[in-house]
Amino acid sequence: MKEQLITIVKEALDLEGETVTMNDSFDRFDTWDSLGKLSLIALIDEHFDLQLSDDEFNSFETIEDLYNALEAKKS
Amino acid sequence: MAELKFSGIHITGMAGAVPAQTIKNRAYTEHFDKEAVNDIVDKTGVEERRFATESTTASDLCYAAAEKLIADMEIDKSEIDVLLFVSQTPDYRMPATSIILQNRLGLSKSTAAFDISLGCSGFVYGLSVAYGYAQQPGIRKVLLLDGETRSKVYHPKDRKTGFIFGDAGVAAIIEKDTNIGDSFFSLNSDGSLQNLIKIDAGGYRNRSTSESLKEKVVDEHGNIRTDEHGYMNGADVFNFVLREIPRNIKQTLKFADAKLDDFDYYIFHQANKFMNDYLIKKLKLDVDKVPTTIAKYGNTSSVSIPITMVDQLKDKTAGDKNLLLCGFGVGMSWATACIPTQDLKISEIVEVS
Repeated sequence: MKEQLITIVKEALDLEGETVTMNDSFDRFDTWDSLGKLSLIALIDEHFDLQLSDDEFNSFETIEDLYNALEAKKS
Repeated sequence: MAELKFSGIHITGMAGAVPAQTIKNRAYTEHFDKEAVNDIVDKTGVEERRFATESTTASDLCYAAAEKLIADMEIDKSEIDVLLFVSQTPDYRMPATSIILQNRLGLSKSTAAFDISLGCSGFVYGLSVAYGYAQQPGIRKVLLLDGETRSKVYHPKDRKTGFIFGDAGVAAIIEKDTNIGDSFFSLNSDGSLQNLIKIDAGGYRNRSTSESLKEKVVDEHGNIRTDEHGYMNGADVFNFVLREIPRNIKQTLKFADAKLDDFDYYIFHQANKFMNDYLIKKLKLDVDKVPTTIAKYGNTSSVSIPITMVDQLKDKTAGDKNLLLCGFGVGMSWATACIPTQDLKISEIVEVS
């Protein structure tokens, strides 16, 4: 799922061809604006059928944080 | 649970008005560079919007739509017993704009007139009120007016909102007809999400001051507005829509004992193309049954559902039609309606200069 999440983040934030790791902070990406967030929310919903609450969504800094939040949702 | 059912009531006519001034978004590069603007337009799908002039208000647009509707339907004005005005951009803080419109339209003094202050859910809410009044034996016709000048609410230097919103007004007549079956409404609210879309100052909680009118940078992206301009957290709004709207539509269908396939058209609030495409995909709807005006009028808040009906369903509403309407936004407030219509008359859109 980690690999899939990285693919999704790259698609949502137009980062194809760039190296993205789980430790990357979202703030590092110029495309991490409200439109980027919209794309990410949509792709997470589509691929994992998971919806994060507004508070959860605003609480993570890195892709790892997002991953952990999604894992917690799944179980 | 605010679930409402009405029998033998429908919308018999609709008309719409838009300002003549067209803003072409891809050329609207005064405050942001072309590349950034094209990015925004590609994603939101808002190619053009209509902007009212400085002196034109939502009620002016509604007045033009109402006069057109009354003329086209040859309505005897004395039969209009209720006038409702849905808007969050009224003419004055007081009195209610609906009352000014009662006089301007030449309606009788025995007309009930009041305003409904809601945003993107407003038309469906307003319709539920109109149906409720129309059900009364003494009420002949309800005139529902819904107008917005959202172009005046948001700051052009705030890219989160500066390319999305536009202005429009509509008029609809609601009345009894024993041939018409049942209509169903679901109305909802969540004030814990009041900060997702808001204007902080200018009301009575935070009064208008010289400070509240000062332009300032509000975020790390360099967006600029005053405290008396609207703001929107688009990602949180989208999250809300994903979570609540498909669920509310399913709930309303259950209440109406209907299936998603039972409808001729699904008319959603025109928030942006991204959001509506996603709802269509999520609900697995036939895209041809989901009319849209997001490219030509943008997001006109409460007016987006009815202006889409007027613009896109003209000449398509002869005979019996079953419509599903769903509005969602500022509040947060959201509402779904399943309504049958018969020979709904739709007038040509009027341009107001």
